[in-house]
Amino acid sequence: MHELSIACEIVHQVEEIARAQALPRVVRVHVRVGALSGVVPEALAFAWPSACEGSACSGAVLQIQDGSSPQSEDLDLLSLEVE
Amino acid sequence: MSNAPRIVEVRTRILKRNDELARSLRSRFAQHGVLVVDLVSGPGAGKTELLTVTLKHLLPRLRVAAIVGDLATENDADRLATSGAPTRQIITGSVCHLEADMVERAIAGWNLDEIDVLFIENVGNLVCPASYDLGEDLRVLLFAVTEGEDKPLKYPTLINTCDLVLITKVDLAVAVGFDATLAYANIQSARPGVQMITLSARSGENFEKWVQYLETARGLKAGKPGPVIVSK
Repeated sequence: MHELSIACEIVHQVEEIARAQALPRVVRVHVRVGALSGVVPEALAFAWPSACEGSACSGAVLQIQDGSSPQSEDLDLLSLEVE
Repeated sequence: MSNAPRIVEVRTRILKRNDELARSLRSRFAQHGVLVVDLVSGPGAGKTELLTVTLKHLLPRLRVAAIVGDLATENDADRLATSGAPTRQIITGSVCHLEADMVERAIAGWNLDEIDVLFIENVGNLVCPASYDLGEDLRVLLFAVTEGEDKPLKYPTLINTCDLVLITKVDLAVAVGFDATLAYANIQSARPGVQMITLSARSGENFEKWVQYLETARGLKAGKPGPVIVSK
């Protein structure tokens, strides 16, 4: 169950990007989680709101897509939607 | 300025920070010629016993050190220290795996020039350690004969990242009705071609093979031939 650590890493990266690029409000965070990444999408989604609290991701939707192939180890932050 | 939503492309690894730190650790270890071996398994597969005996075997010939991660207690570091090697405990609190920054903090103050082989005993967990690069050269996965033959199939992610599988506690194989042929087949189906050593830290069976494996790896890392040279 290291999905909370993974969620915190996502928040950390988003905050860095938001600061560096002076981004407005982040409303969606799009990630890719491969079947062999060792991360369970449902557990990551469960951890997400806790990791976001009080951060630049607060209130943002976490969109999780499957890996690029069935046996993929992908664990990537793909894009942000801001408004 | 409109508030229309827009997409900001990122495309980075989520564990980028850990990966970058692991790379810098790997580079430091390489500069000092330290072979770094990460031991991973579920709880109770025998990592600490194996490591304690391994340290004793290697100590006369090599300068070895060990760091060990657990959620709580310094029991394992105390057990490892009986070998005479320098050891340090990492207490992770509730974190179920080791991360590169924990390793960096744990080795602070150690002179890497005085270490030939550094062992990292990961937190007992067959899932989470898979995602975290620690800067190690070798990831060694332990399955105990008492765990049953189908563990490799149940936990494919971690085995898929390992360089060597040790089947431990073979002195108990008969007592628990361990089917070695089935276990080997399962390991090979999860990680085709991976090297396997079946051994016991208690009885000493095949232990020398593991020690030779480490000495060879250490020799290659230091640019010196080890006792066993694998030819093409």
